[in-house]
Amino acid sequence: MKNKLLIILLAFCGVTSCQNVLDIAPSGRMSLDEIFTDDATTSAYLNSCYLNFPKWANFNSTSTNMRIALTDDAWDWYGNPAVPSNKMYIGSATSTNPILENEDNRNDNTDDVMGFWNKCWQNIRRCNVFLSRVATAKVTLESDRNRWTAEAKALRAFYNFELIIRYGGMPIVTSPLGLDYDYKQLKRESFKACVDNIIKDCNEALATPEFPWRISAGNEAYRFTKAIAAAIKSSAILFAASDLWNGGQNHWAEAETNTKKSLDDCLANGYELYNKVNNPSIFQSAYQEYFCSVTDWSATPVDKETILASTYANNDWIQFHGLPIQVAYKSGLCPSQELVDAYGMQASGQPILKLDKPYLDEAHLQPNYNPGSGYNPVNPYVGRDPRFYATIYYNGARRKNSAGVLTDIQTYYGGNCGINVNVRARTITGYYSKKYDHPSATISARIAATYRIMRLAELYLNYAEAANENGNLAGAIAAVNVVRTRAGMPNINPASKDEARLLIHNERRVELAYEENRYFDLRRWTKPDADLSATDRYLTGMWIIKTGNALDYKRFSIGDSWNTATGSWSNTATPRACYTNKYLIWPIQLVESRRLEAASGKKWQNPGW
Amino acid sequence: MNEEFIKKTGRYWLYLPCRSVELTKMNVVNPLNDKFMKKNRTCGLSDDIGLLKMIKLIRFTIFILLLSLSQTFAINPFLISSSKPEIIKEAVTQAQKAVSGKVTDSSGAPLTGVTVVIKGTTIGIITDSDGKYSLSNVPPGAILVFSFVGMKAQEVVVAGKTNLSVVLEEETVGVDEVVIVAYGTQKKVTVTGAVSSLVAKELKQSPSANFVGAMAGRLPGLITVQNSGQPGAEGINIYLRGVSTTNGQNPLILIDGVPRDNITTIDPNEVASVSILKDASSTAVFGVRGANGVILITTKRGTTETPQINVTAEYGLQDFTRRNFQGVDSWDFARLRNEALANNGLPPEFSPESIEKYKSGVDRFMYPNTNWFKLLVRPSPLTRYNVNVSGGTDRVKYFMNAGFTHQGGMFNTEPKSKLGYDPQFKMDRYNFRTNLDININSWIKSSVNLAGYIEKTNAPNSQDNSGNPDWIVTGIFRSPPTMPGPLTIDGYGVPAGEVISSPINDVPSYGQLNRTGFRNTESSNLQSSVAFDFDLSSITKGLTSKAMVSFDSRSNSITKAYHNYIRYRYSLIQVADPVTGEMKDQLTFTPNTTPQFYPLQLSKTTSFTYAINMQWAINYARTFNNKHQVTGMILAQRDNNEAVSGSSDLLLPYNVLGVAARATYGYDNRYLLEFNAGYNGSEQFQRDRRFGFFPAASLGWVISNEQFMKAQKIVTNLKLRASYGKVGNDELGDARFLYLDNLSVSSGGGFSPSLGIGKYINENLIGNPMITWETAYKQNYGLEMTLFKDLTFTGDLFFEDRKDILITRATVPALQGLPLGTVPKANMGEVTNKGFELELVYKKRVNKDLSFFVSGNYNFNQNTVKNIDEPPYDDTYAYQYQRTGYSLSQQWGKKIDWESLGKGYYTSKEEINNSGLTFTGVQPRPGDFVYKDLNGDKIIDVKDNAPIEYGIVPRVTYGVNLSVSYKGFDFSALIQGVAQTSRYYSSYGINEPFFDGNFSEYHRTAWTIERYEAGEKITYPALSTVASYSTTQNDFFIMDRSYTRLKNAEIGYTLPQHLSKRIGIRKMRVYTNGQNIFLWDKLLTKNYDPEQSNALSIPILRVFNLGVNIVF
Repeated sequence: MKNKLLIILLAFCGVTSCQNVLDIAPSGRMSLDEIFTDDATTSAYLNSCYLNFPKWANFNSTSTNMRIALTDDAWDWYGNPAVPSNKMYIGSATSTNPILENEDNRNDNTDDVMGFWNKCWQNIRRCNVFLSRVATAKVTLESDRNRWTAEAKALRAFYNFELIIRYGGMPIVTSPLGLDYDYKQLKRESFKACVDNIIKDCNEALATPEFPWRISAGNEAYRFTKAIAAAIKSSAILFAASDLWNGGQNHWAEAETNTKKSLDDCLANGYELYNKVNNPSIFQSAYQEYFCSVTDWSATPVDKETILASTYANNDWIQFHGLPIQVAYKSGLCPSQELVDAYGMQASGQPILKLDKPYLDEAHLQPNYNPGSGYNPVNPYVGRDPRFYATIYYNGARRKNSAGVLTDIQTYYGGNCGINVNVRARTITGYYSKKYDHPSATISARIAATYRIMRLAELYLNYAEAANENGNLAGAIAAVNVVRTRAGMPNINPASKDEARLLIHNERRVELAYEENRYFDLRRWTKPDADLSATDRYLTGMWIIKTGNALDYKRFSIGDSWNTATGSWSNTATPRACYTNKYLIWPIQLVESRRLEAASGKKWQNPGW
Repeated sequence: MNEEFIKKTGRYWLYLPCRSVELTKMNVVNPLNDKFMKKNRTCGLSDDIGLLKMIKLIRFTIFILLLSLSQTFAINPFLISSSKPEIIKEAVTQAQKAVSGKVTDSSGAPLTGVTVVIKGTTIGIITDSDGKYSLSNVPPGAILVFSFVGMKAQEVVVAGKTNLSVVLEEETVGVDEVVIVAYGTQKKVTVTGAVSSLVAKELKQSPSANFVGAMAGRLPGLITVQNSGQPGAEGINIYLRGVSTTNGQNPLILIDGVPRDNITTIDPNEVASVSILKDASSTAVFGVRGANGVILITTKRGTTETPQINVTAEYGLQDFTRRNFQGVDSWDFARLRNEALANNGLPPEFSPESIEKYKSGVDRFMYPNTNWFKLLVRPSPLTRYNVNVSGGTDRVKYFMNAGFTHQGGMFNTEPKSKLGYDPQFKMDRYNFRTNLDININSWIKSSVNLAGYIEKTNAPNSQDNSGNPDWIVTGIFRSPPTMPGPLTIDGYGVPAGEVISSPINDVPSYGQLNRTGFRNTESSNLQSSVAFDFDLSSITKGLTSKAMVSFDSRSNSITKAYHNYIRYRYSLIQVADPVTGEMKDQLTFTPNTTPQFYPLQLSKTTSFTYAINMQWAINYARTFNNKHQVTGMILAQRDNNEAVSGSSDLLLPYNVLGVAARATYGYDNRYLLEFNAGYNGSEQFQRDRRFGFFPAASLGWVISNEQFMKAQKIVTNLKLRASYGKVGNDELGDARFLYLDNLSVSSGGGFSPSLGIGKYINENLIGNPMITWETAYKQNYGLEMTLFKDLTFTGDLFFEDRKDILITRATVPALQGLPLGTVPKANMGEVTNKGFELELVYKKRVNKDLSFFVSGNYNFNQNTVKNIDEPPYDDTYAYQYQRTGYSLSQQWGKKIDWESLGKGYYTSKEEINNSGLTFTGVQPRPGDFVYKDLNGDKIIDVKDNAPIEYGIVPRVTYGVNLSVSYKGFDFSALIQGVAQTSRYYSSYGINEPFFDGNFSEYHRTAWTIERYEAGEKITYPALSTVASYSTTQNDFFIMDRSYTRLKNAEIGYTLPQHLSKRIGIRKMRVYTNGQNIFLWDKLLTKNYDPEQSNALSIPILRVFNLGVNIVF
């Protein structure tokens, strides 16, 4: 009897014993420590420091290159308030609806939701994890270890730079924050302090012999180089010295030194401007050919100008920033009259408007012509800067149509590409964008072009600006003229720092048009308490009316349309709402600023948001 | 021992290798077997041969189990014997007499249809219309059993009498009722936890194709939400007492004591009862899995001793609860579209001439008025057949069930002759079950359950080979009534019979339904379990033990056949007539060549999963001195199962281990004390933090059993009970092993092929070794009262504090660099839940012809988030916290100022301009809502958001159940409803069409200046062509989802006994019933059933049914 009981009790215990059943079976998980015990996984970790690397040129059927659309260079039109650019124009952006952050994450279109902030901080952390462990990781070759270390530092500098130019000074985080990190210590540093840290990383990377100046093998394509570190350094100090970020300090001397060093180092290591037209039957200028080409990776590349290229060689330009004669989906970014006005005359080398006050009225409808330029307002597209012809399709420009026949582009009202503010595929400014449009491409046989993120010409212009501000007028003029010479423009010869500043700023606009630089340039040139109303608020286009063979050029506010019957404007134009000074700096997403404020006990949000 | 010996003695032996075993006949004579032999057994020899096999199997199993033990411990042999054939002979040879008599109820009225059976045999008869019976050949020592529904069964010893008249007493509610509780049963009167249950009869009144639909409204505290009406994919959520966590919110479901999830597919005919366990006392034994409550489903077993064959056939028609998507006619569509355009300053799209043509119907292809819902949707059949057999002898009892359910599709599809395949939504399900109980000997009883189903569903493949039917419903919503179709016709320069699509919507319903191929899913599920009950009263009286092993398997195969088709986009534009120059409408079609047509492509996926459950329990139940009732239970359990799908860790089998214990003490049926505990482990946690102890205690006081209550006759039952305890929840969402780091090397796709062989490191999760289960501290207070034996009231009040809820940290900034999904979760959340359940039952048998039953329940639950690690909003916000202090899923939005000049709407541009308010983004127009500036900063933005109405899970649920029977007729009805639930509604069928779609009924009276000035009723803000200032989350679009349904009603007629007897059957009943018959709701738009949370899924069904039930 007792035994019966015993048996049952024992069987009972049998069911309950065996704790091990609750242990996990092997599933391929690794811990962080295990990663750094092997060459391949260590370098795989460095590979993940490039995860979600910005691809730039993010546009599709609804979104567009926001940092072109949100400048005075272009107006994106779809007529739909749900489209991100239009949301910005009507002022819908809030810290809970950070349209820019979502749009400008510059990733492939599939990963829209993550936001730029998260992406940068994640990669900064990965760099920090890597740098905190690479010294003791099991790596076979010391040269690999050194190169990887330099590479991670350059990457960290890059992410920090991209972060602060959007959100302003940030905490300097150089080691991974543990789960028990006390956020009370965390605080925003000054912009300059952040830039100093960026430059420090760049300098350390530049001092590493194993870190190459240029990638010369296809399988290493897009990996970071010393030239990238030099370019980051150049830009970072330029930003730190600019009005928005200098905090009332003068950093121009440091800026001149650093931008010069970066430029000289790149020149000394084989970087040069793209000077030669390789395919003259298709391209009129080296400048035009350059932007329709794809970066090559070899020891002796054709393109020696590009420092950092987008990994995204895009062939969609023709569809989403295209022409009606190509049956494009939409006209996309339509160049503004203001951008067109920025191109000087080739013969005189003179700007067509007075740069200190280009327009006499707020709405930009009355241009303040520069008398000596040689510009003819009734024949406006003749004799302009060659870069104009490489960047913009205007009335009378020619291009192959969808059938491959060379056709005149008619942007006048009623023309084959005629202006129409209500039709998605038609221009709303009187112009179409051209820069990345390969002349041989058609909508059915597209040709990809590489989007350049950093290139040598920018380093010249960085230096020119810094030198001028620091009082080195001669150095500045020389640098600008190198860039102008490549473009086929005569030299400039300003007499004063102020005159030179206007010319240098205009040169940047023209040379780097449609390269997404102007968005940040306009902002960094603006004092924190000022706003962008002079540039971003009112934009104009060119409404051409054709009567017989006569063309009547009418400047108009974008959004208006001319009623031929009544001879009047519709007055449907709405100025942009996104010009106020809160738009100088991005908002931190509300959810994040709440977290930061709760964790650190300090205010984090940027002014106005 | 050899076969010879066995045959000779008629006894079967189990023996064990032990010291000094001497198997002589003498061994049999032990107290156990003596007692056994005294029992009267009826068992033929052929039974014994089958038994022999079974015993061999059992013997082998136990042998293996005990073999090793016996080596270590001194174990005496024990013997198992079957019955002794001689005894049967003995019984038969005794003198037999005829017995007759009359059965009446307490009022003296004769009872017709009472079953009279000689106990232990299958011999029996039913009383006639005078309540009389007569049985011949009754042994003098036999016992007669009298049973009748609604009456207490009675056993009477014949003792040589020839005339036995019996008075049957009505069954008193709640006194002798037995309730299924965790791992056992309890008399209802002794239950001290919060348990509600219902029995088979009620479930069968609901002709729902799935079982959960039949439970809604019948159990206080149970909340069911059905999201879709798609056959076999209803997407049902079940909650007990609402929700109190952000993680797994669904209760644990056990079918016959084993965790199983096929609650939607189980055949209601198989189910004997459903119990829901709600408080800590009743669920503590489930430990780490019990916090969300437990549903116990018990299947039927063979009980009656007369075999019963039960045949049911039903034919029904099913339809949607919302019969129409309430679109408007094409001419109204055109008028409203022009109105929307005008509101936004745009020129009209439809000329007055075209509108006239839509109205006159002059050319129904060019100017159609298509009701896409009516065109594509039709009622469809629902048929169900069921046969079950139950019965048994003392030795073997059985219940066998076979069921077939066919659910047809609700759409008009093209015939198979045209397509070559059938894209219709439909489902065929075959259920079967065999439950056997075998008395092996005096102390071992075995139960074998074998059940399963095969389910075949068919559906169109729909968009992108996804099988997602939402595209079809969406397509109906998106097609305007002005769209021609569904197919092209001759005369428009395109081939006839091709699918027409709208200029915006490229996925027309007709094409998605008919031209995308089919998707055929076959799932089969097998559930088997074997249990042994050991009566160990020889050790000590009242001791039993039970062992059970169950094995379930499920296989699933999906055959997909996908193809695509070319669509023709229509466009209706105005062109100038070349001759007259007059503007005319022109209908053109352009082929949409992407996607390309391609032929059917077949693919197939299959899966197989299993689950093993092992349980071993020891039970003790004994009453000392007639006063002290003591019970005890200890149970060990082990689970091992596989997930159906998933990746990585989710592919690993799941394991659960635990011990449960219960002790109860009752004194004189007056004072009840119960202690329950679970001690179990979950593999979700670190080794040394894996096991948890979950105790609960409860008390009961049966006041009505006190001396001072005996005198009165009003309160026949009065009980107070209270419980307190803790229970755990280890449902951590889909994630597993959160205590471990989870980094992996990607399989490629790294940035540079020159680094890490082109791979990169995925940091999926950083482990938090401190992670543990969430714990629910639950209190429950209950009152049960019965008045005049007829009216029963049950009330429960509960409080729950759910702590240590595993949440994603919300105050860890993204700045630290780990994606927030990778940051370890923490046990930080706290949610409280409180509420009550009230149930009132009135049951009355007025006379022998009329009886009725009314019950009602009303239940309330309200959860409040106490901590969810929410960082506050700054003080410029109207509300600094939007989760903490509110219910889970509380809806937020803008408050409309219903007291404004235009009573909620802006009346003019001037009013907007003079408001002094600034608006971010889309600007208001006259006719848009006036929002309140709640934070007073003169800016209407996100900072003005306020809590609006309630959350998504209903706070209030209620049900009213009525049944009446009069002579052969019976009628029953169930009204069920929910209240205090709301949800933000947007998109098709809610908003006016922005790019495509149709207007709804309430858009007809949208705001216009004319309507406003005329003082007419306004039901919608000014129509717009794009999302307007009004179409955001606000207290217009956050709608009240309360509803009341006539959930089901049934009328039946049972043929009088004398008639059914004449055609040789025991009972025949014909009936008609309906499910989801009427719906009263408060949604502003009547396009959706308020229960659906995904508005674009297939709507919930309404069923009307005809059925016949025959018992042989």
